[in-house]
Amino acid sequence: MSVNDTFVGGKRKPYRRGWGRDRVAGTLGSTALGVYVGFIALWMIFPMLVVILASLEGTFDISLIPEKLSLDSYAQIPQSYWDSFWFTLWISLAATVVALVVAVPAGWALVRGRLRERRIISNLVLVPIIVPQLILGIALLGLFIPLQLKNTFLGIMIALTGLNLALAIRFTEALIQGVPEEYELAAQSLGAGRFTVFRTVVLPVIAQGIIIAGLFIFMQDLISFVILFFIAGPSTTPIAIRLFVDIVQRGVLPYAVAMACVLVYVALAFYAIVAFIFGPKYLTGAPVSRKG
Amino acid sequence: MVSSKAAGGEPSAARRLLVSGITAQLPGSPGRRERTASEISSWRRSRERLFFRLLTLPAVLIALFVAIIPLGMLVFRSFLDRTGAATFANYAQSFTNPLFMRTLVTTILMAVTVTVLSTALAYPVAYVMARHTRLRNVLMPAVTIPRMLPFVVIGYAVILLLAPFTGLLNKLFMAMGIIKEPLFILFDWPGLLIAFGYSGLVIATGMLTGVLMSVDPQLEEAAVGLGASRLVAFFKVTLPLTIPGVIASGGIVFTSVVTAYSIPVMLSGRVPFMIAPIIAVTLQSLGDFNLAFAQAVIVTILSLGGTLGAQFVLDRYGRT
Amino acid sequence: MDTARSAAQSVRLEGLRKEFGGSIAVKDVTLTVEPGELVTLLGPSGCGKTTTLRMIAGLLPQNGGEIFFGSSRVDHLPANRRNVGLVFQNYALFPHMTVSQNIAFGLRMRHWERERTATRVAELLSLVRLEGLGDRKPSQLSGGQQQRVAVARALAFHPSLVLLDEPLSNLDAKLREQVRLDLRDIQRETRQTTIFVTHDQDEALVMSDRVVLMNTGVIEQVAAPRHLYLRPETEFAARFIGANNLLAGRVVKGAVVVDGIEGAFGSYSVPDGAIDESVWLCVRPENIDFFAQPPVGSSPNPRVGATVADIVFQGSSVLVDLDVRGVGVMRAEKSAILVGDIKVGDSIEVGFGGAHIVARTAA
Repeated sequence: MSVNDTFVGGKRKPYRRGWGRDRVAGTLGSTALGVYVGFIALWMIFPMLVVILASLEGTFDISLIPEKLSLDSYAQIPQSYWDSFWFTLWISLAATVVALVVAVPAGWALVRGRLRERRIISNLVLVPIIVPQLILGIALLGLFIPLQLKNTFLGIMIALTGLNLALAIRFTEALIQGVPEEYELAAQSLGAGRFTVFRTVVLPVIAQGIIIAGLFIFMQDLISFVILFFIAGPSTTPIAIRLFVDIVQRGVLPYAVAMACVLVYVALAFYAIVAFIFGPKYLTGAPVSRKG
Repeated sequence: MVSSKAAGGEPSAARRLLVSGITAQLPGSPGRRERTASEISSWRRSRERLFFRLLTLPAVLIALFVAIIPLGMLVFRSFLDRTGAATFANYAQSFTNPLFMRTLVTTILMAVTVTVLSTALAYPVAYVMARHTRLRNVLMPAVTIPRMLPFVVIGYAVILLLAPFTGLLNKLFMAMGIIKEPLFILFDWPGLLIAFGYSGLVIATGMLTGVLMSVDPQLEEAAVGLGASRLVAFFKVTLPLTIPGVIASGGIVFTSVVTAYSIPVMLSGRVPFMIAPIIAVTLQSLGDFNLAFAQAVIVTILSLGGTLGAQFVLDRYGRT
Repeated sequence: MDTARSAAQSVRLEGLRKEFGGSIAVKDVTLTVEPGELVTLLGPSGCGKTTTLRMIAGLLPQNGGEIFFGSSRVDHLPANRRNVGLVFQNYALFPHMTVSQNIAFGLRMRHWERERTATRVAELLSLVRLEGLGDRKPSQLSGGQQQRVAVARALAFHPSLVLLDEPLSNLDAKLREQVRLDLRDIQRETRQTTIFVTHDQDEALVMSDRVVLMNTGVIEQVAAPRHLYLRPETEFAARFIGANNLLAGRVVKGAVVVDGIEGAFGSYSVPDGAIDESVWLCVRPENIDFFAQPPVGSSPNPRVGATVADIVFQGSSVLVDLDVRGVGVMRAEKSAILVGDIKVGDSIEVGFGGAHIVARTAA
């Protein structure tokens, strides 16, 4: 029975889903909404498509109906770019692993430890992602210069780890809060010491979530730009910075576009891994984006 | 043996003291001195607390080193001049610098525009995605993958699209006869707007989807059952509940535009629109660190203040 | 480290005390549980029974008092060294381990060899009648089965003591009745000292050797179920256990005079704590006798006139609400046969046989 039913002179008319004004408006509205959403979705993947198209056409004078497609621009990617890429890969991996190793026990301690200073510590660790990355990058430069950490592997590691830690602890806290404390109490009553409890009961249950968090953090590190811009240098150039510098100094070059596409493919692979191995439910819910 | 009160009262304090005194004094006496229960448990508890504190220590140290100390130094040094003496000169200089102030204004304008636009555009999409699970799974890649891309990709895409002669847009419009001459919008504010609009849209959609998913769809249905049309139900029930989330999302977008560096530099012309490149120039070209720090502080207060201000305003509006 | 089955131990609590912030959750609880006994801590929510249980298990630190297993004091031992088997309300089965791995966890912690562990796990699976399900994960089992795994896990390592925290409250009614008896049988077979916590008095009365009735942090009464039911010692116990009709009265010359009723009931002495000899006369619903006519001659216990106010059919028994002259509403419970043709509005005579008195401490 819907509000579209009508009463006529006390007698109810038989329920017929006619095309009253309400229904037309509703359907038009839904269709319009659907078209709109589709349009926006298209717009969101458009840049990726454009860039991939340009890399395959080998020029930035692209046309939608390409004459010839080739992988030449990929072959032209200079060694320095690949060096940057692998460098970025390694350092992101290292920073992610270190952050997780520090964050998981810390997150557990924050949730289960009943410490008075819990809120302070929780918020303290989040500062790197609350403050705009531009400011943090500049501040780090101010600190790193006297310590001679500018343009060093260690310096970039530290910066990335600081950012990663914030996300990792947030994730860990959320995951552990989802594990009933009874599991730990049960394990204790069965004879397990605190550390054993953590190892045999807490870790296995949150393992999947931690891995996905790690993947997500790794991806963010891979494309990190602003925070590293000031503290990186000629011998330690993450790929995002190298591409940026080249476009500013030399404009759009085909092999640079190709390198950017490599990063797009990495992002696609990441999505595929998480969606198909772990399930699409992990991709909803939006942690703070670290764009800049 | 049943008792609700021990027969003859508890073992007297005197007896307990005596026993503990004896065991403590006898040389080589086995066993420890009798402790009261609360002593034992508080000792255990403090050992436990120490254990947990140690686990959080590395995280705290890293946070201090990466964020607190550098930021503290930044603020501190913004109040020093080149000789190290305390001064407000850096701030005074910034506020009286016409280029700085003008750019600040255009930056804020751009940020506000982008925030409003991207939130408005993203909201319906987020709504659809929140309510329709199958559609969400289909659209998810479109929303998530762009967030995994470095900004250079967006820069490239915008250039490829909007370049005067070779850009797709111009070629298309000219072919369709809409315009006679190519639009030179790339290195001007429209290009910036489109680029920021894109990134804002991506951020906003992701965040708003989460916000809308947290609103129980049954609330809307209840309203419809009570006689409201779907549209009215949305405006009167769902929308108000999402306001805090919308503000949070808007704050993130606003901050990201105000402090954006890479896109303005990639797409800038002769007239600077955005403030971040100016700070970078102060830092790197001019080498005046303390001035740059002061400018950074100003920009931070602006961007964080904008979000807090919006929250404040809507808190009071919401209460009426 | 044990090589043989541990003999069941006694548990002794002395003046146990627990405070949370400003409020006292458990106040001076003193109790001894004999080896092999099944004792239930019974009481309404918030009475301190679960808090007491957790202190015995070592999961909650105490503010005062001592706990002994056998003759050794265990206060200083953390939870993982007390050798206690604990069954939680939500079972707390480790979701990432199989049933067998769950059961074997305590053995693993004690470094049992693989063969011995396997044998013991098989023993327990057959004890709780879950043979063949060892390789399943908890999520693949029904609620009742999960509960049995939780019990098996707690018993595996021959604990000194088994503690169960409202283990039946997540089961539906029919299952609860069955599992109640199963648990009692298991306890009798294994002869473990067991402490059970529940708010459901039927459970407590069915399963326990003794019931410890608790109220706002103190023990009201400790007695065997039958004794607790027939002879509650406090007003709280009288009200909490079973249905009861409480009539205000006083002890006068060795008999109870009820306000509003002529004559005196039975022979009673003044209970401890009664102010001005005032008492409650506790009449169980099944102890209200119906008479069609007023008595002939004098009877040992007064009879009172009453009107039938409501009749509720319950299957094998019938609830009859009576408006008793001078007293007010009382509820009787009779088997259907004995009630006969009584209708609402009838006038009858009622008598109270086998009534019990408790002290009335407020005016």
